[in-house]
Amino acid sequence: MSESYHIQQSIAFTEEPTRTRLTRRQSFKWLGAITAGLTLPLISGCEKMAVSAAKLAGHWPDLDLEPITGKGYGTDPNLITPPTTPWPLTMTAEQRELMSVLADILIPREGSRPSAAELNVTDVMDEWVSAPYPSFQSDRVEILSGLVWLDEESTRRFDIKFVQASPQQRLQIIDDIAYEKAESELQYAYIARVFDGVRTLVTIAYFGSPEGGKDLGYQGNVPIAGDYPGPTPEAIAHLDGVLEELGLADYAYS
Amino acid sequence: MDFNYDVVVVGSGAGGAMAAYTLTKAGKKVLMLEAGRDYDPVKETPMFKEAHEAPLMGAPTPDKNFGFYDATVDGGWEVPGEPYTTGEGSEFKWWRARMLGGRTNHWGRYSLRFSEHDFKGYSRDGLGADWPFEYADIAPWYDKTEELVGVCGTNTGLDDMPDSSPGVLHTPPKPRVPELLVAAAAKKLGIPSAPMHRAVLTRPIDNRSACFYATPCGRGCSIGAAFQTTTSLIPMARATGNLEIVTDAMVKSVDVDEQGTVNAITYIDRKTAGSIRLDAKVIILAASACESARILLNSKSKSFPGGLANSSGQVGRNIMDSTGANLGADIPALEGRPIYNEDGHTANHLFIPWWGHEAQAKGELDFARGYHFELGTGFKAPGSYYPPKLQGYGPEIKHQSKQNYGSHVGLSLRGEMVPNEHCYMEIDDEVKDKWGIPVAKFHWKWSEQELNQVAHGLETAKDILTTMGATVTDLPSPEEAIKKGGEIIHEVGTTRMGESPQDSVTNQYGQTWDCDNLFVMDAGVFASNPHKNCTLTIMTLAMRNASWLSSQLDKGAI
Repeated sequence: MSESYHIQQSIAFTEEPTRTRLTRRQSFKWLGAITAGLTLPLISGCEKMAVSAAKLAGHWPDLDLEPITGKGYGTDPNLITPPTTPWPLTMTAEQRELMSVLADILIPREGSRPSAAELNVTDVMDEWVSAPYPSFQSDRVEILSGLVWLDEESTRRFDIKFVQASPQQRLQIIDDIAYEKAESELQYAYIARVFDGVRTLVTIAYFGSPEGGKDLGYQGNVPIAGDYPGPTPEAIAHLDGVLEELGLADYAYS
Repeated sequence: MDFNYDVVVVGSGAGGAMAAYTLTKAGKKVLMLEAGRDYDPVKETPMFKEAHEAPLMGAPTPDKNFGFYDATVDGGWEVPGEPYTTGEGSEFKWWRARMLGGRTNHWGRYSLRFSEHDFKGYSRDGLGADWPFEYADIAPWYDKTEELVGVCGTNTGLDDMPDSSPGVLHTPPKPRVPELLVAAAAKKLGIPSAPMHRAVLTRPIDNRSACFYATPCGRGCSIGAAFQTTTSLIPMARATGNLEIVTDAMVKSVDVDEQGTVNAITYIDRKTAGSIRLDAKVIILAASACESARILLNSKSKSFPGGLANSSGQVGRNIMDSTGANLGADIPALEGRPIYNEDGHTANHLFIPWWGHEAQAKGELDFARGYHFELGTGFKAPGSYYPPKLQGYGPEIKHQSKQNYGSHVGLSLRGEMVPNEHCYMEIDDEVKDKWGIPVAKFHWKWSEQELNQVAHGLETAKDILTTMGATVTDLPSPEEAIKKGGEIIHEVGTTRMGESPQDSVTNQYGQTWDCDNLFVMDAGVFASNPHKNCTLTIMTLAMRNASWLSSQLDKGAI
C-alpha cells in the first residue's frame, strides 16, 4: 500500500459540513487485516472530530459489543488440512440474513454465475467478524453496527426492516451510500466507508471462491512442465500497443 | 550423548546448515542444535492450496503474520513466551521462526552477489567499515554456493551485479508483461532492469526438481525447487552419517572453563524446560545475527564479564537492516489487458538494480549507498487480489475489479543502510523469556543517509510510474514511508568481522578474536549491509569459513 492519505478538510476548519471528508485511510482500515505490511498511523485529532461529527449526523448506532476472546488457530496450525471452523461463528440468524441480502446486492447472480451468498460469502463474513483477533474485532463492531444502521434507516424511511423492504426500497438506501459522493455528505459519510469495507471484503471473498476465481479469469496455480512460457502472443501484442501509446516503443526491454 | 562430535552448530538456517553441510562433507562430526521443532517441507507445505480453504481467506493474523499459508512455524514478529523489548523512542521488529531450517523456509530467495564496491564502502566514503577481504577472495565461493544452492539469473555485466562463472546460473524465466513495461519506462529514464537472481532451480539437480511455476515460494517448496535448507543442505549433511540434530534446543549460553576457554554449551530443552549442558570442542553460532549476539552477551563469566567474545565492545553494535519503502499505482494502460498465467516462479523475473555508482562518485547524490527496486505486479491468485476503491454495487463492481485486475504496479525499495551509534542491541536487564533467558533489547534510529536515500527512491518510483501513465499525487515523506528497523528482515552486523580485535568481533573466517574455538557464521559477521539481500552471502561465507575451520582442525591448529 503506498497511497498517502491526507484529510482534505476537516469539520474543525470549515463551516461547510458537506465538504467534510473522511480519509481514504479509514476505508483502508478494512484491508488492514488482509494486507500484509499495511500499518496505520494513529488517527489525528482533526480526523477524530470529523468522525464524531459524521457519526452524529448519520445516526450511527456504535454498538457496544463484548469482544470475542476465544483462541485463534495458533502459531502452528495444520496447513495441509486447514481447520474448517477455527472458531465458533457468532452472527445471529437475523444478522446473517441481512448480510446475505447485502452480499447479493453487491454481487448478484448473473446467468450461470452464482451470487455472493450462493457461494457462502456470508459464512466468510461471519468467520471474519467472529475471529478472536483484535483487528477483526474492531471490524466486527463496524460491520455489525452497519447492519443495524441499515435496519434503522429502512425503518426511518419505510417503517420496515431492511430485509422486509422491497428491492426498490433497499436500493434507494444503497444508492445513497454506495458512491464516493456519499463520503462528502455528512449524514452518509460514516456508513459509506463501512459499506465500502463490506463491499471490498465481499468482493475479495467472491473472487476468492473457486467459481469467483474462474469469473475473475485467473489462470495460474497449475504446474507447468518445462520452461515458463511467458506472455501469450496476444498479451505481447497488447503490450506493444501500450508501449506505442506511451511513447516507450524505442525503450523496449531486450 | 554417545555421538562423538567435533563441532556444535547452533541453528539450522542459511548459515548453520551450510556450515554443517561443509563440515560433514569434510568428514567432521557435527551436532546441530535447533531452537524450533522438526519440520519436513515435503509433508508440510500447503502446495496449491487456495485462499478459500484457509481461515479468513488466508489473511494475516497475529498467529500467522504473513498469512495462514506462510511456512513460518511458531514465529513471526512475536514468538509466544519469547519477547524482546525496545529502548525509549525506538521501534524495531524482529522476525523469528522456531523450526528446522529457520527462516530459509519462507525467504524471498533473492540471491544477488555483493561486489568489490560493496565490500569497500568505508574506503570509498568513510562510513561504516570495510570487509576484511577482497571480492576476488570470495568470488570462487559464490560460484560454489550458487552451484550447490541452485540460482537462476543471468550475467548482466552491470557494475552492481558481479558475474558468475560460466555455467553456474540457471536460465531465468521470461519476463512478464508489467515487468516489461516497467523496464521500458525505466530505460527511458536511463535506469537499467535485469533478470532477478533467485535461489530457484529451473533445471533439476540432485534430488530436487525444477520449478513448475506455481504455488507461492513463501509457503515452502515440497519439490525442493525453491531453496530451503530442509530440502537440501540438511538432508545432504545427514546422508553423510556425520550429522546429528537436536530440535527444540534453545541455546542459553556458551560456557568457559577456569582459564576462559570455551568448553561447553547450555541449552533449554523446550519440551521439558530442563537445562542441558554439553561439552564442546568447537562451537559455531549461526542462530541469526541477533540471537547469536544475545547468546554471547548472555554468556558472562569471570573471564568475560561483558559477555563472551566481546573484548571489543562491538557485540550487539553495528546492527543494520535494509531500508524499505513502497510506492505503487494502478496503470491505466494495463487495465483490461489479456489474461495469461503470470505466476512464473512467483516472485520478480525482472528487477531494477542500483544504477547510481557514478552519480555517487561525482557527489551528485545526498546519500552514500545504493538501493534496488523489486517489482510487485501480475495477475494475482484469487484471495490475494484486492480490488481498487470500488463504486456502486452489482455487476458494475465486478466489472471494475476485472478491469483493474493485473494493472497495479508496486515498486519496493530495498536499500543499504549505514551503521550508526543509535542502532544497537543489548540485553534487557529486567525482562526474561519463559525459559528464564534474559531477552534482547533493541535501539533504533534511521539517519539522514537512509532518509535521503528513501526520498530519492520515492521520487524515482514516482517518475517510473508516471512514465507508465499513472497518476501519482502526493508522495509520503521519507519518515512516513520508511519501514521500521527490522521490518525487511535483513538484520546483520551484530558480531561484525574485521581486520582488528579492537573494532570487530571476528576475523575474516568468523573466528572470534577472543576464543579460537568459537565461530559466528550467520549475518552477524557482516561488516556492512549491501542492498542485495543477505542470505546468499551468509551461505557463501559459511561455506568458506567452515572449509577454513575444517582445514584448521585437520592441521590441529584448533
